[in-house]
Amino acid sequence: MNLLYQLNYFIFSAFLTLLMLEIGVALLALLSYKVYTDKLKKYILTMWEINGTFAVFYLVNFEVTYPKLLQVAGTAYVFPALLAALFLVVRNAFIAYSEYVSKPSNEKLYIKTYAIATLVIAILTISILTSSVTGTGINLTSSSINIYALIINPYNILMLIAILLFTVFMATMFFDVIRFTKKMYPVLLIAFGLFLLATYAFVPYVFSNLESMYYLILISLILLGLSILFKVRESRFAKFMILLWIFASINFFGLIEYPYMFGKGVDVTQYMTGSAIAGPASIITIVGGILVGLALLYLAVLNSNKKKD
Amino acid sequence: MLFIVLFDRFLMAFALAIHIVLASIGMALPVIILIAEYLSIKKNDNDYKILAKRLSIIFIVLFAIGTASGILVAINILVLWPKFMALVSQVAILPFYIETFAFFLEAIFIAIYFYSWDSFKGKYTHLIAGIPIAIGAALSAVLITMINAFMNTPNGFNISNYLKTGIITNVQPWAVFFTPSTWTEIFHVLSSSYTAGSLIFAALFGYMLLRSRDENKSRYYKKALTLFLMVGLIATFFSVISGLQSLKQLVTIQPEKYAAIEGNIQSQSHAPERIGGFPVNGTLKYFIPIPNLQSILATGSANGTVPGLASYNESTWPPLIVHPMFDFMFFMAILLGLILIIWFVLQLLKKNPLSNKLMLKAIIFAGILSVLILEDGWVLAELGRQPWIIYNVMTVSQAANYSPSILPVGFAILAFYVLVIPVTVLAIRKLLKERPLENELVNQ
Repeated sequence: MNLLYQLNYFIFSAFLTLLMLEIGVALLALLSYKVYTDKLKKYILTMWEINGTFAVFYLVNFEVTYPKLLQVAGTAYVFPALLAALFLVVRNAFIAYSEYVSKPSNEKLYIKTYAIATLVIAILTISILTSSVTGTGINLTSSSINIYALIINPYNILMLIAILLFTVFMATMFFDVIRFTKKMYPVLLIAFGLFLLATYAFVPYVFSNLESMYYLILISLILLGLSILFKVRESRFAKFMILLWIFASINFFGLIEYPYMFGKGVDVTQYMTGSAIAGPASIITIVGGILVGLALLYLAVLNSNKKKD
Repeated sequence: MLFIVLFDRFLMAFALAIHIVLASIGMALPVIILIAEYLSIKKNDNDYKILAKRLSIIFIVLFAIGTASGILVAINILVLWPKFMALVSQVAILPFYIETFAFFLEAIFIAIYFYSWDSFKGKYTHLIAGIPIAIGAALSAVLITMINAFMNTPNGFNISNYLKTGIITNVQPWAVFFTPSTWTEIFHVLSSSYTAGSLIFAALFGYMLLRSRDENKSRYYKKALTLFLMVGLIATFFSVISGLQSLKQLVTIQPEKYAAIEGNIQSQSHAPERIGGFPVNGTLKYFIPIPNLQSILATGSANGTVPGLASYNESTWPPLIVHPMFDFMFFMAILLGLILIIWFVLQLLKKNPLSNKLMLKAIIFAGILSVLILEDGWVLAELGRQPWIIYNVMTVSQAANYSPSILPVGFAILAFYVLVIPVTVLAIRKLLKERPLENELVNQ
């Protein structure tokens, strides 16, 4: 498998993991504001900007990896991409306002606005991603999309629901703001069921690959099992394990989908950058990625020391 | 079709015009915050600590809007100019790519610096944690400017082969870091951004000092104002030097742009410097000529020949409006420099210039001038390259996205920007009002 593809999907997995965690925060804040306590607040105030940076990182890495796909993707996705960017301004503005506001009622209003903007971004982003898997709603020849078909199609709707359920599960596991109970298992099962059903019905080639790469499913299930085990035993590793599970599962999907996009409409290896850019880009990704990882680790250690203090 | 290209241009220009101001503030503010924190430790002066903390609130809010606006600009570039981005991605993408790491550096250390006041043990540790923010912001500007330099002086691939066949060959990915205009442009962008970023706040503090009737507040505003003016003065000095260097360089690297800026239709030696004047029917009228000066400034000799537009195909001439725009920028820069020099000399003579109302009004005016110069300079630089998006390689029309689906969301973006900036200013005002300065100064 191509190294550039792997690096791109690695970044994508990190981006989507963080996005899913943030969707979880937004959902919790919207559905039950009383759970938006210091734990969620501390996380989101530290991470909102880093999450945004990951989006840019993925976007630019996509530009580096698939320059020949840019004209098609850039032209076709103009509407949802700009709309998502617009809501990103709302998200950023309101989370920043909420940080320094002193009136609780204003804070609630700001956080709810932030949460709604985040969810709109999530729906648009996920719709773009699912259409890149199935090709639904996009006409590659004319580089155009049907926005209605892009969002309102059975695969996207099933995946949206599945992802939202996964995010609730993830947020519950990660933040300790809702007690983890057995009620979470049906949520997880439904999410899994919807994901498998959608894949089986609408992207059969991915499902066939899934059958031959069954060991990836096994690894994913083991990681999930360990996450739950750690959680039940109240181990602090549960948080990291749940992130690892989501990150690995997304990455596995990339391995299974390779080398196609847009419902087999595009073989990504045909659109990759030339060798002159590929070498330096890979080195920059690896070195830069390690540095970013170390800086994030330092931030995590600093935050955990603050909590101890 | 033409309407859509015009709309693409307008949307891009509008987004950039706002983003450039936010980016300049985003570059200057961390430097000022760090200097203020350093002074608070060094002089054991709580005013500077309060200043650093209050500026941090402004910084975080503006950073939130600024980064979102940056992402919007990045998406705009991709979706409005897909063919341009496809070429850049295959030839000159590395600065863009490394910039994401600079952005990460900034974002991560913002999380460390702004949420860890008073939680470090070492005296200077917190201050040191802030340095990467300033470096990250400057580095982002440097790397993005490299792409703009590539647009002005493209290199790193076989251009003649590309023009003949449309196929990109012989790619040298590191060449984009060293185009003929790269380092001059970086020097000018950095200095002019620090100028505007600091003088905007000088104007703000000047206004507050003008209105202040409280002794403690006035003392605080004066310290803040001095800090912003010092940074602004130094940056302006370098901005003027780098600006002159950039103009001189245009003679060789972008002669059409140079000729349009100077209003030269014919190439000539002993060329006069044309002060003022407006384009009328393709030539410059109503200007005051200063004999030989242009040749001397551009080549070092009155005999030196300067380029004229007539030597080039008329379809590639930039609009002559860039000449009055340049004049406007030049005279505003002189005025700005004069205000800063007067302040500095009076300060050196210990005349207490910040107690003078006229001086304060001049400082407010200087802040407005700095933004006008910044915007005018960028518009001039971009208009001067027309009709090219990448000089002599790709025109703006060739690069544009002609999809009508841009229109609705484009209008929404325009409306949104019009709304979001005043709302942000109001929000910052409200947030600061909730923390009355007088309380913080009294409680020190």
